[in-house]
Amino acid sequence: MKKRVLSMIMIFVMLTVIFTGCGSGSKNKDKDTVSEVTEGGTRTYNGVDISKELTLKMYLLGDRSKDFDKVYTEINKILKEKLNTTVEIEFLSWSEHDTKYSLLFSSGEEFDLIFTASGWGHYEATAAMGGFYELSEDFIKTYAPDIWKVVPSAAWTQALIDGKVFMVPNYQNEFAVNVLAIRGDLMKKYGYDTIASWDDLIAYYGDITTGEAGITPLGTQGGGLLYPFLLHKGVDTIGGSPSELFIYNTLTPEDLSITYALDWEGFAEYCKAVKQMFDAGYWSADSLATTEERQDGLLNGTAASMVWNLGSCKLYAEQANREHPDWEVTIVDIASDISKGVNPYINNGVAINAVSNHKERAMMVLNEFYTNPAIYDLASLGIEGTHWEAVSDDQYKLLDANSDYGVDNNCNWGWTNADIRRKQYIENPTALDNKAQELQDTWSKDIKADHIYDGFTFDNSKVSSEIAAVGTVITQYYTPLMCGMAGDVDKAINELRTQLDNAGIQNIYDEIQKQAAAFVESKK
Amino acid sequence: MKLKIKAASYEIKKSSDAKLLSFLAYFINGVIALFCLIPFIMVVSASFSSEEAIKRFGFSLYPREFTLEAYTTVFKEPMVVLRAYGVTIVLTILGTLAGLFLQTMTAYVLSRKEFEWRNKFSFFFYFTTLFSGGLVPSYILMTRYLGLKDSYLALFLPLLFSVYNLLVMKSYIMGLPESLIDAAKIDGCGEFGTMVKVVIPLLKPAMATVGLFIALAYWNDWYNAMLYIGKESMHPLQYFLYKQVNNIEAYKRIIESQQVSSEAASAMSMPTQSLKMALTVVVTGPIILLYPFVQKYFVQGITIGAVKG
Repeated sequence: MKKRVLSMIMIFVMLTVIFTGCGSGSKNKDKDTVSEVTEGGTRTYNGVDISKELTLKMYLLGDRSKDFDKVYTEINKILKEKLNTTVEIEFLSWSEHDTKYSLLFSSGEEFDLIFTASGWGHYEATAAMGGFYELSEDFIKTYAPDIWKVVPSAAWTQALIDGKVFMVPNYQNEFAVNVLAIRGDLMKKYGYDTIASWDDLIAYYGDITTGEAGITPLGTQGGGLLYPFLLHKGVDTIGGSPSELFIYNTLTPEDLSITYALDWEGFAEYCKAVKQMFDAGYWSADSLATTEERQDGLLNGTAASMVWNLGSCKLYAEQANREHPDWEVTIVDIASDISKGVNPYINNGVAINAVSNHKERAMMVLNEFYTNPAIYDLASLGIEGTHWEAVSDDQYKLLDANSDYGVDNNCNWGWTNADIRRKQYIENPTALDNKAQELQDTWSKDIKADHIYDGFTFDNSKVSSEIAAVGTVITQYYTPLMCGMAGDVDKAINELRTQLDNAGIQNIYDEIQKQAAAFVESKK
Repeated sequence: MKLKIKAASYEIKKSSDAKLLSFLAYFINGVIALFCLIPFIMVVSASFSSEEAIKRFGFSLYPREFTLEAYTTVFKEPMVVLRAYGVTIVLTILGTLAGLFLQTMTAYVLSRKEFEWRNKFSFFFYFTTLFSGGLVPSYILMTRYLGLKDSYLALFLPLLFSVYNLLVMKSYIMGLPESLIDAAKIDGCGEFGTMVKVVIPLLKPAMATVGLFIALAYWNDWYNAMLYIGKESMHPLQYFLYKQVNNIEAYKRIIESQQVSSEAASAMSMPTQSLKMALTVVVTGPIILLYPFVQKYFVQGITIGAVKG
């Protein structure tokens, strides 16, 4: 017994020695790593003293491209001259940022700027643990007056957490809606000039199914029509909720109700419609277990269309047209009468670390990144003459070396600024280019009013066991229903309802409503 | 000649249930070995298959639509892979030598009865296996107090000493007859001479086992690199592979969240299946070649403790 006590005491003594040893060592290390060069007199910029030379540390997400350091050397030259500051960039790669992002803050690491984004980019979680510095209106106006002029007030509202702003959101109107890339040759063959509504699309699909052998409207992507359908009905899903089970009226901002999808009349309508389509052979039975990606069927000629956002549809339509020019793939919007919403501005942004010693300078640097065209072009496109060349004032053309840097490929998304962003110069626009541009222009004329839930993401950690249970029900009962493979629709919906009730869907519903109410409150 | 006859007659004497036993043993082991081998063959064959073939037919035992494309991609910038290889090889060699030296010495000292505090020290070592500081405190310790961020020491030090290996080593040394050490002493051997000339030659199997454990730990380590190494040029091989393979998971998760902007989405490049497999082959190759050389000792080593010494 005595021996054991003795050994325990010994252990504690050793532990104390270790910890105190480290503690005293740290004091010496806690000095400022920044070099101080005082020049004759004080230098100011916008009335702020910048006579101290600083190097700021910034974290970005992704992988460092080959020419990244070259480009940032150029950026640093400009920053040095203008603000007496340089930046040093570290990357958190895609595979590690989930672990390391919060670690940077919980360990109190010293750095100044970091990329952030609502939801996938850790914005809410980090703000909640106090990792970001609060950006007050005065602070922004003093140190980043140009950003204040550019960023719309809706963006600042979206960034609010408990009435405070912790990030500078990016500014661009990017449409988040799903469209379809469709085989133009088949449209011509069956006499369709345009396809502009859900009914047009179904009729076109019907003609393909009866008239064409070896090609189905959607190939293996049976579930793909749900989002176009929701869009055409003017509803959207609550971000972060299980599958598409909770929806809201995205077109009417004053309507704050959240609907359980099974109680919505459109649900049965959709299930019945897809059942008919599946029975008629609009997509193949292996839709449930396919390893194909959305674009594969269109590209290899087994599907007559694909569903995705405008950018991706255009990308793969171009590829299909390159490989098979006779296909004349084009893009259609089947909800042309519905005004389209833009992605939340807080989908990309930059925040300042709460423990940074140079918050003011960090904000000034961000102001340059965001609004100085020379720096903006460098970060977005690379070095002029090496990676790209200018065509007129607002367009660019890529040069061969571009693959070593890429376009908007280096996590410069946090300061995207639609006002000074260059567009790619297209020498001979194709019908597809024109169509995409036309859609974009039409949508821009009629942007849907911001609904408060557009920026809301449900945090499901409090009901994780219910979420897991619902997940199994979804695979077993919901997904077949969405692909029209569940047999008798009414019976299948009733079965799904019972199963979801047993899995605790009501608790999830209650939690979503509670969080949504709190979210609305926090934006006031 | 005589020996051969003896062996033959022994064979004949073997009873039928012994035959059944050896048949079963070979059969079951053979089947298990086959199960272990098949996935690896599939990895190798997939690395030589074209991406379309993998998508269409899935994985198979022989390459379909044979191509070296994946390997050309891996070695497109050979310096990146070679540097990662260099980091891993140097770390593994130095780490194994240093670790083996430290752990053998410690185990030897702890096993000597003359060392009065050996039980207390053993307990101290053992105690550390029960608790760990946790992710955040150890991260703070490494980066803020020890200042090991972006330092090769952050990859080297954490794996240098393993208590599990120490216990294996110690129990093996305890199994050696103590009289050997006494004899060496009587013959006029000093402490260090006893260790080097008498004990270490007898420790070969244990050292091979522990050495292999340490080498594998260094070779396979990616976690420390993920936490502490930010500079791409300092990344070891396994982390290089981990990044490539896990990008695809991270990519899928982010795309599914439906919130990501299209620039961010297009910046995430998806490595193809065949590229992943080729990387796996490139990374596992050398360490597989190491096994046959140490296997002889390895088998002896893992029976340590099976028979009371």
